Amino acid sequence: MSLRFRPTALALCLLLAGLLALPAPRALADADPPSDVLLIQNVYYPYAPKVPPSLQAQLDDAAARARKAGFPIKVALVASPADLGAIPQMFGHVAAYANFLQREIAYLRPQPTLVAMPGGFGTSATGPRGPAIVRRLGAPRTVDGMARGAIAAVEQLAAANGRPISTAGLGGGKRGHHRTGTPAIVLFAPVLLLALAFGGRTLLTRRRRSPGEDRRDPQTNDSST
Amino acid sequence: MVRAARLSATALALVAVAAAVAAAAASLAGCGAGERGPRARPVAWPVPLPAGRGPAFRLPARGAAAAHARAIGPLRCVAGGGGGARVLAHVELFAAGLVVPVPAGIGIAPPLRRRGAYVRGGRCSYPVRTSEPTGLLELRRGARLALGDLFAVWGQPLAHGRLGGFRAPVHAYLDGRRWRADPRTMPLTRGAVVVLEVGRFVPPHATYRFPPAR
Repeated sequence: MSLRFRPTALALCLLLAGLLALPAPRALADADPPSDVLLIQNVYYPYAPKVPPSLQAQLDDAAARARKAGFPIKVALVASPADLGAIPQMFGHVAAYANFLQREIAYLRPQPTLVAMPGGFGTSATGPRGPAIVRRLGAPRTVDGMARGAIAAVEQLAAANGRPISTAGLGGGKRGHHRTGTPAIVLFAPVLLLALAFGGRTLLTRRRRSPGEDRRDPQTNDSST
Repeated sequence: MVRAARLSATALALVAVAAAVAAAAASLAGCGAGERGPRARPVAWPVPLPAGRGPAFRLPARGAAAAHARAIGPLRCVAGGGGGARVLAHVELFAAGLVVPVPAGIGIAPPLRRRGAYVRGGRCSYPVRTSEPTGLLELRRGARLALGDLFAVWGQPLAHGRLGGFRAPVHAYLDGRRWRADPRTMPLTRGAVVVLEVGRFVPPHATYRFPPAR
């Protein structure tokens, strides 16, 4: 080797270095059903197993209330790789998919996004406390658990972002979700009191009209007829 | 002198290669940055593509013929969908590097029964239809269908140089492979994964995880 080969060697080395430094080519993707559905509605539900309609109604309601309160969160419940269409490899990577989905559906500004998978919950653009909030919810094992956890997460994330939502319409849950409904005794107490008062008044009225009637035994009563 | 220069070149080359390897490693590790979950690992995830905005990207679900349940060539609108479970295929459209959403309700004549983003039924269905806005195609079992049938029922133009309202060379892919013939002749069969593009190239996906048939 002599000096005249030096520029060629350098060029080859730099070319090799450049090639090595290039990041591996990454596929561009869109064909995951949640990204399409969430452009139109607030919650994506998995193909199977189905989420019970009552839980769907509660989660829809929570997301709608959050939107109304100024925290327009989108929620995806992903129960199997089939829910991810062309990117099934992201199943089980809930945090990565939450970031991916958020970037797909955001428009002009970051889009608060919550994803539930059987292994846990993931968030994106939900504020600094978002990841800690969903970590506390644990790992749901069923779609019911995913839905209940998502309801609790929407509530807590909205509150953490200074947009607390009314929980009057939300039903109670089991794991990872505190009861938000009004206890039945509170609802029915006034009715019960009214009924007791009405019953007492009727009794008193009857006593005033026929003071000895109640003291008569049934036999006497029967014989008099 | 010559020996010194040779050594210098070799050292330079080694430094360059080492730097490149370090940069590549850092780049790969950075792919998982921002992920906070316990399952975080350095994997190169796909890059998300957003949907395009504006009327050109918002195609209506049907043309005049399907809106009135009229026959479209040999394709007839049959009440009850023609009976039997349907088989599934998938189509994805891109224009200028952005997603063109495929609406729910293609191949279903109004009045539609809607539930959120989904269409649960209508007056009648053609052999190819969509009930969700995900690009999932429901094909009548046993029907011999081509991509041109989907666009005919949809009421959108498709040709070598036309995709909906976009006029530019159309690149078609079936199961990840380039389809060089007329895109309208591409067969729509069970499990077909179709990608159509105009403008900027988007690497087409070759597989799709289908949900249970409906």
